[in-house]
Amino acid sequence: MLLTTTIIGRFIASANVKTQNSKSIAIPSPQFRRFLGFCLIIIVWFVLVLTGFLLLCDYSTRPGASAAVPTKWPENSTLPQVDGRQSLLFFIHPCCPCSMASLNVFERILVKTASSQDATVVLTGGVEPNQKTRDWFQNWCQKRNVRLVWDFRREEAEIFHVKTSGQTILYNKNGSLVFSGGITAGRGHAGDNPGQQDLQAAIHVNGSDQATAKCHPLYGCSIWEETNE
Amino acid sequence: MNNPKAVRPLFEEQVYEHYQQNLEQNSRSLCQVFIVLMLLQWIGGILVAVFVSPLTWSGTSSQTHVHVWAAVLLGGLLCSLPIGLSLSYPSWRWTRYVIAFSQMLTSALLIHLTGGRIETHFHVFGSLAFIAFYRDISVLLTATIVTTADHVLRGIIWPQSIYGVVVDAHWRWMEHAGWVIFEVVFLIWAVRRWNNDARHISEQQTRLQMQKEVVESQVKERTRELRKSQAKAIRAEKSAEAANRAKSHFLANMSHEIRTPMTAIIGFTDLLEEDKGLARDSKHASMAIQTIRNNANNLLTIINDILDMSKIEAGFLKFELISMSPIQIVEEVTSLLKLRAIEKGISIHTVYESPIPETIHSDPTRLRQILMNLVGNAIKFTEDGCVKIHLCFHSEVNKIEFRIVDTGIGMTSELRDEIGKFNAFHQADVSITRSYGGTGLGLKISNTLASELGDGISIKSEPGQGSSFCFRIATGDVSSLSTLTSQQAINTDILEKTRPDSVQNSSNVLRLTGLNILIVEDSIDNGRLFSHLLKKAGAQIELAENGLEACNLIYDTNQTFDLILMDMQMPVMDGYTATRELRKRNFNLPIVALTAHAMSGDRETCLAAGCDDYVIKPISPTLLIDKILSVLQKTETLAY
Repeated sequence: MLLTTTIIGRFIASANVKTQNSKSIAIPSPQFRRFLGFCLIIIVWFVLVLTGFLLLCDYSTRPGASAAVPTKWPENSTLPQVDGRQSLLFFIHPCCPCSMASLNVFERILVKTASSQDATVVLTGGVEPNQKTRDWFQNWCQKRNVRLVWDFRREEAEIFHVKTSGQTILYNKNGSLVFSGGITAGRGHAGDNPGQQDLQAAIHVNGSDQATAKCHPLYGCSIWEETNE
Repeated sequence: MNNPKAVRPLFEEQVYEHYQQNLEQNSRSLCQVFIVLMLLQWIGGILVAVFVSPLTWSGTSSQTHVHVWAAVLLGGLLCSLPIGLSLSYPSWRWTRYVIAFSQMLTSALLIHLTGGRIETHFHVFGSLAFIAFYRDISVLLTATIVTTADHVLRGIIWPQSIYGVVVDAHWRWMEHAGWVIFEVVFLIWAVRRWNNDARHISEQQTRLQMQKEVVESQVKERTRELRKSQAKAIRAEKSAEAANRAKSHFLANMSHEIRTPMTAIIGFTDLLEEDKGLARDSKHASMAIQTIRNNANNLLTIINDILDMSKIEAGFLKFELISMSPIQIVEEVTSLLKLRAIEKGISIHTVYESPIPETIHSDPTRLRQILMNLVGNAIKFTEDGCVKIHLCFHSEVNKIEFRIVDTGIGMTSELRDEIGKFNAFHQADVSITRSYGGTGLGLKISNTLASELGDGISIKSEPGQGSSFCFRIATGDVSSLSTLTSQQAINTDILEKTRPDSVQNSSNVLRLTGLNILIVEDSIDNGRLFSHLLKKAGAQIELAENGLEACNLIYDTNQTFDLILMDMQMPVMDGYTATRELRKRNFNLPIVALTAHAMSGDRETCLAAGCDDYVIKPISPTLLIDKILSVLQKTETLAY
């Protein structure tokens, strides 16, 4: 915009000089008219580009639906719970492109909170990925000593009221909810963020039953079809 | 080109022009590269989006991810305007700004599409380096400002999209901008060096071009000079050929002109020798002798013309300025040529259009020569009618105008122009030579003489109407002199002053009585002729055939002579050697050179050898006797 303003300003100044010199009524010269057209194009182009970037940022920073996660470990869940350890559940849609960024952040959390929790990655969303994807997830979890649970029928997602991929839930060793939400600050954007820091802190402090559960926005694909909303 | 101050601005101007051309060419080629690069970036962005985030999911259903649309639409939008401007206005400065702007936003898009990966930031540095190839620091700064602004704004609004982290991000734009500036500083330094090199190259180009122009100019100049020289040489060749042809024609003509009177001379001489009856018939003998004399005089005129032409061409023509009467000269010429005019049945008149000065300062001999030639020509080319000599004095310029008007055959304008060039050996055309004779020298000589005495000859003529030849001679200051009216001029008895030789011949008798003269002449005939003439005048004659015989006669026989007539070109000992020998032996009596050498400088050579005077053969008896008496009188005067 600054550039455009400068260009227009310069040409208007030069056009005025020409008009004064010729001592005629201000009839824009063909060159000036052409430049006005060029400025118009620049402005339109710039506005469109700006709009595009804003829309893109809006999409990337628009959170998905948050889950009303049970405050106590649900009895009907089939997911294993190890006594005396915090249970960290990470629900992701196996096909969501944002899952890679979430997994990166999740991995950093695991590294920083090693042996302090019992981590489980739950692949849910109703889509059965191909074998290659399955192997990849299997391999990833094995390397990081993380439990992998296939929840293709979204039973566990329903039990835990999970709606958006990337939902991370932390229960303390007593089964009380201490953290719920996303661990990324945008769709597909890995990196340090408040959700990640709060989760790490919650794991480290081994939150008590009375502690208020931390909630953070989620950035990822929906686990459920739109019609189900 | 030799003035450095004058050359400098032109040189600087041309250097600047070359430099701008270089920049423009660079900009054009780089715009082409950017077109390709932006298309590749667009496609690359789409591929990245498709590879990283092809679909977005809602449970089991999926749709194209927003990033793919962003890569297609926003990426396409970003490269559309720069590509359009690069194709339309590749050398426009604002095209470069738009490219820089777009390129840096493309970096931002790619960073966004890759989830803010720090590795994608290398695209920013690559783009800056690429933009630096424009060698335009303002464009580079534009790109720097755009990318810095993008980092600042994103850092404020959504830092993770560009820094990868959310926490502690408020200062990171400075770090990123710092690295960008770090690179840009070096790029600016590089750009300045490139531009200096480009300027240096432009200077070299300009010098080469200017040298090339100088060489081309010199080649053109030399070529032009060569062509001029060729043309000049061709003209000279043609002129030489024309001169050669003219001289060949002149020689042929001259041969005819000499042979014609020679035929008459030899023929009538043979006739007188063989036909004793004719020799005894005094009337016919007199007519034959008169014919011989006339033809001999014609021959002499031709030879004199050739001599004058030789003097003109050698630049040795000399004039004398003495007091003379123009009317007397005109009347002499009229008198001499009147007989010829009467023979042709035409009249000859003198018309005085104004009072004419009685005496003027000019050369009477040359004026007579001019008038004789022009009036003679007028009579020659007039079959009936008259020839008039008009005289008019122009007091404002002190010049007398002579205009010879005839009622003869006249000339066409072409012939008049040709004659008006006054080229030697040229006549109007060959038919004139055949019909009227002549060598073609007279007009050339007359025009030269008239030019020296005043103004050259101007000609007016109409075919069948006659011709008018006009010239002016300077009179000198005549304000204090009296003028003659036409009537006075006519009444002046000037005709009595000109007498033919025949009239004077009778007075030559016994003018040399008592004189002893030695004639040194190798030609027996000439010796006899001179001996006869001088004996007839009363002198005693001794003959010697060469210089040696003359010396012997003087010193061995102790004979005394009053005067020696010395031929200058002789066998055994020539006249020059003999004269020098005699003078060396203190021979003080007069020696008169008698020679057929009549070229310029011959008189001086004779006088330098020791001669007292100089006589050109042939010479009339009267003039010879006059010359002898004149030399003797001068010698006696000196002796006293």
